[in-house]
Order: sequence, then C-alpha cells, then structure tokens
Amino acid sequence: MGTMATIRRQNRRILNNTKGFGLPIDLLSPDAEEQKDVYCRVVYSTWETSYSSRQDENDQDILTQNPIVTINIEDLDRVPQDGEKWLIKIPQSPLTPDEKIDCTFERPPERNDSIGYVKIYLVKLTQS
Amino acid sequence: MRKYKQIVDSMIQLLGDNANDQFRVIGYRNQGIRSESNFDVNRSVQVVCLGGKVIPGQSPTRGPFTYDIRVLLKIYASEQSKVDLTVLNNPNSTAQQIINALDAKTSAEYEANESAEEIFDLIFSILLDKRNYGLGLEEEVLNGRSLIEWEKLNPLEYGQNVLICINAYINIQVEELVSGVTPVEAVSPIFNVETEIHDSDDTGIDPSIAVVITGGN
Repeated sequence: MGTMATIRRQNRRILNNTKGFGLPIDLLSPDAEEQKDVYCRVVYSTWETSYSSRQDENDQDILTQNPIVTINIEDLDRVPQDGEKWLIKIPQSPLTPDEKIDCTFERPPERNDSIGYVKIYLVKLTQS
Repeated sequence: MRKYKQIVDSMIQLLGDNANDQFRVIGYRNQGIRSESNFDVNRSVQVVCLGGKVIPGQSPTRGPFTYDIRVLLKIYASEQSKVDLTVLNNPNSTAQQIINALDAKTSAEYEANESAEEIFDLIFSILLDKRNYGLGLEEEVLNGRSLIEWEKLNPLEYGQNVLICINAYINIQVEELVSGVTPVEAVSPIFNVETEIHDSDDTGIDPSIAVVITGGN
C-alpha cells in the first residue's frame, strides 16, 4: 500500500471515529437528497478564526461561533460545491449529539482530493 | 484649542439623542469593533477627531484663530444570513419545502450592506440637517461643516456575521480665541478715588464735598 493510500485510510478512520472526535451530522442537498448521520469532525472554535468578540453595552464579551466540519469525500453521496445552498445540521455541542442546529455555508468549501476530504465553514441560520 | 473637543462631544451627544434605538454611539473609543451574535442593535457609530489643519497667515495673538478639523465617523453594521426557520424546524416539512426556504435565504453580506447604507443615511440626515447647523452648540462655535468624503470598506466575516464599515469624513471650520494657560487677573487701578464724610468740620472744609485722593498699590 502506498503512502497516499495510507494517509487516506487513516484520514477516513479519524473522521469516522465514533468514539473519538467524530460527530454525526445531517446533510440536505439542493436536489432534496437527504443524508443522515454522516460521521465527520466538527470543530466549534479555534482562537484565531472561529471566535470573534466585541463588547456590548455592559462591557461583556459576546462570542460568535464559527463551526467547521471536515467530511470524508467517500462518505458523501454528493460533495457540496461553491454557490449551492445546503442545509447542514450539526450537533449543538459535542456533548449533545442529538440536539442539532441548522447551518449552511457561504464561503466555498475547501476540497482536498488527494487526501479525500472536504472542509466546510458553516454559518448558523437565523430567523428572517 | 479647546473647541474641537467641545464639538466632538456635542456631535456624540447629538447623534445619541437622535439615535432612536436605531444605532449605538460609541464615542471616542477607537478600538477594534467586530460583529456580535445576540445584540439587538448591531449597528454602531464611532466619532473620532482625526486632526486639524490651521489656515495659514494668521496671528494667534491678535484676533480669532481659525482652523479646520477632520472628524471621522465609523459606521458599523453586522448582519447574519436569514431564512424562514419555521419551515426548517417543522418536522412535517418536506425536503423540497426546506430547499425552497433555503433558496429564499438572504445573504449576510447583502443584509449588512443594506443595514450600513440605512444607518449612513440616518446619520447624514441628523448631522447635515440645517436645524443642526451648530452640531448641538451655539452657531458661533463653528463656522461651517460639510461632509467631504466617505468610503465603504470590504465586508469582513466573523463567525456567522458579516461586518461592513462605512467611513465618513466631516470637515468643520472652527474659530477660536486664544486665552492662554493661566487665567488673567484684573489689575488694580493706580488711584482710588473715595468720598469721605467727616464728623467734624474743624478742617474748615465743607464735609459734603470733601474728596480724598490716596495712592494705589
């Protein structure tokens, strides 16, 4: 087995690890195809890119979440593309995988075909 | 040069009084502003005096001292993508209905842009209203004010929010008298002229017209 194949296999094993960092998400594609419980890696925050703060009137910091999901391409029936409107439901927190929040993406997903994953920067949907 | 501070404070007060919960006036705190997730009024404006320019050829020791100050208004608006969540959260919604709701989703950048334009129009209307010619002060404090330039900066993405900033520059002409650092004390006159009424008339002078001249200091 070549090195790249090993990396791909390990990548898939990490992302699908149900006992580790893997979390189940649901995807709804623009052609109304639903895919449930796709195990992937969900990062809720990093200090540099995922949180932002400002001071409100009470001088308290308000944080915003910027979840990032990394999904193995082989686990997807259809890979999200730039400009498409997907509904992606992710667990509200790693501790409550059954309580999901509605998200979508506006930035183009980062697709890595050599290792075989797609990274999606999500935004939470709010009521119009 | 104290009037420019007075003018900036008055502008902050004027904007705050007319905000009507449409935006928030931050004032002089020129610090990093980012978006927020659950703040009701996610629009704000900062008023910052960037500096001034003295009109050449003046003598500050004689007459008023005239200069222009440049005030920056930083208008921030942040918004999120909006969609009809009732459709998404309804368990009876079909996949096609959810997709249709997503198709109607507004872009966060569009929402933020609309919000920033609206708030800019509001601030423009407040500050350049003829009734506010003095920017909340007596008209003698400033000689004139005009919006000279504005620019819209690129949208910034912070989490689920998109932030748009509009910078508007206002030029204000100020006329000021130089009073000096220490207060000036009144100088006593050299001569004090007093009228004294004497009890007795042994001097031979009619008391009703007696005048005594004393030395000053």
